[in-house]
Amino acid sequence: MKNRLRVLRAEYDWTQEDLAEKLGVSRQAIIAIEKEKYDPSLTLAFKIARLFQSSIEQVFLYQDSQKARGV
Amino acid sequence: MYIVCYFGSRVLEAQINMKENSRDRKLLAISAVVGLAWVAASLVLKLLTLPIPARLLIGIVPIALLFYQIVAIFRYVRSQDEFLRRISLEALAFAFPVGLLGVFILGLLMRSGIAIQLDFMDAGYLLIAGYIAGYFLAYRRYQ
Repeated sequence: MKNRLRVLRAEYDWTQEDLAEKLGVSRQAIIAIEKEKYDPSLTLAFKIARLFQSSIEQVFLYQDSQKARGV
Repeated sequence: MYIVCYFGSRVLEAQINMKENSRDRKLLAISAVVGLAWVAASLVLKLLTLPIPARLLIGIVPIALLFYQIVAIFRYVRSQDEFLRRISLEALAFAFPVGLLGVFILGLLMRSGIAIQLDFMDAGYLLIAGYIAGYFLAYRRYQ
């Protein structure tokens, strides 16, 4: 799943550690989410969206795997 | 005021990090004690000829410590965030089949007389090695 976490974090001028602390997760989790290697749980996704005063859709972009491959 | 807030937040951050580190250190210390007790008990039971009650008592010490370690690991995993917990679970999911496969392979090799004769407890080391390898692989996958 694609996300705008890195962009939003940059807009707020927060470090990965700042964001991790605000969300109550590890910095490794933030790194993995930003690299789009890990999709957060719904609870964490809501927390992230609320922290950036956005909706989940504004932060995370769901792409159907088949559409993403152009099938 | 800003400087005070900044340093305050830094001190708080350092304390949070220290708490996490101390949790890591505690688990490592418990694991080291369990490991030492396990090795010591194994050596004593192998080298010394003792009466059965004494042997049982020596055997129970590392088991009791191991039980405490399992409780500590559960607490540790519960204190982790969802991402690190997922890595721990993936490591376990990797360790079980790999450990099982290793046990079966070694068992068959031992029965056929090819492999060296190993102890029943050595299966535990295979599981631990599988867990470490699984943790490493899962961690790398997400980085």
